[in-house]
Amino acid sequence: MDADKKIKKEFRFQVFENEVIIEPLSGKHELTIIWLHHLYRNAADLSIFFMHGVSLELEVSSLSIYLFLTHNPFSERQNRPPSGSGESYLS
Amino acid sequence: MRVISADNNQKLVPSWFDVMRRSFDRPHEEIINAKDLKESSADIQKIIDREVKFLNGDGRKVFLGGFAQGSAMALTAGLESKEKLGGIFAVHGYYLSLTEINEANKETPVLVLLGKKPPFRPWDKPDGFYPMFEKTFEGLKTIKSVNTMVEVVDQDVYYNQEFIQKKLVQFVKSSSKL
Repeated sequence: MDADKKIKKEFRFQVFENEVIIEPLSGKHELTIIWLHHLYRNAADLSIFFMHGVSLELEVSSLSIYLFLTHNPFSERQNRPPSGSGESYLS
Repeated sequence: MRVISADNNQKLVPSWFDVMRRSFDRPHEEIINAKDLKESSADIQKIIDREVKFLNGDGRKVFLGGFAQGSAMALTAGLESKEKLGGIFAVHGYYLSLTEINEANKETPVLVLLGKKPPFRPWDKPDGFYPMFEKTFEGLKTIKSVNTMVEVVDQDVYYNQEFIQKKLVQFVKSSSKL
């Protein structure tokens, strides 16, 4: 039965202390959308907005949704390699 | 995390800046904590820098967006950015006159969506917040060359995700010429 399922879109979904990063695993364009949460909410609440419906048409390479910035949320991606380098910043 | 003064309790909540009053009847520096705003703007600039580096130095591939306080923050951080951005998408939010617009983003496309239909939460005003929010953009719209479109829509922008998604996709595609 699973063999009949067609994947619509695949994501790498990472939850950091102060940040949620959703990266489509395919897509020809390279854009980053930085989405800032509203008062009283956190990034995880908003993630679903980008993972269903028309949002799936967005050809983004990276989508960062931020929690409150009371800590340094940057260290995890500081060494992220340039796009197209063939490296994964996770490695 | 910070306490929101206007809420009259000591609860720490996720926020970009403290809010002292929930109205715009005074200068903005008396309504929100300007220091918080500037600190958050500087933090977001670091994120923008990181992403621009990732995108081989092209800031026009970076879009900044948000909802309510997040949209006010996106407008400030985006317009203050030294990197020329692809666009700023603000939903159900307001513009803070404390924003110091950087020359690099004077012509950056900005789309603001305000909903006429209130989201029917207990604390909402009968007409929703849009008239109050819309007024905050008057100054911004008078600045020559600022490419800001404020669209008041007959929608509940709080719960109508499908509508917002469509607008976002249209905005990103038209601004980035995909």
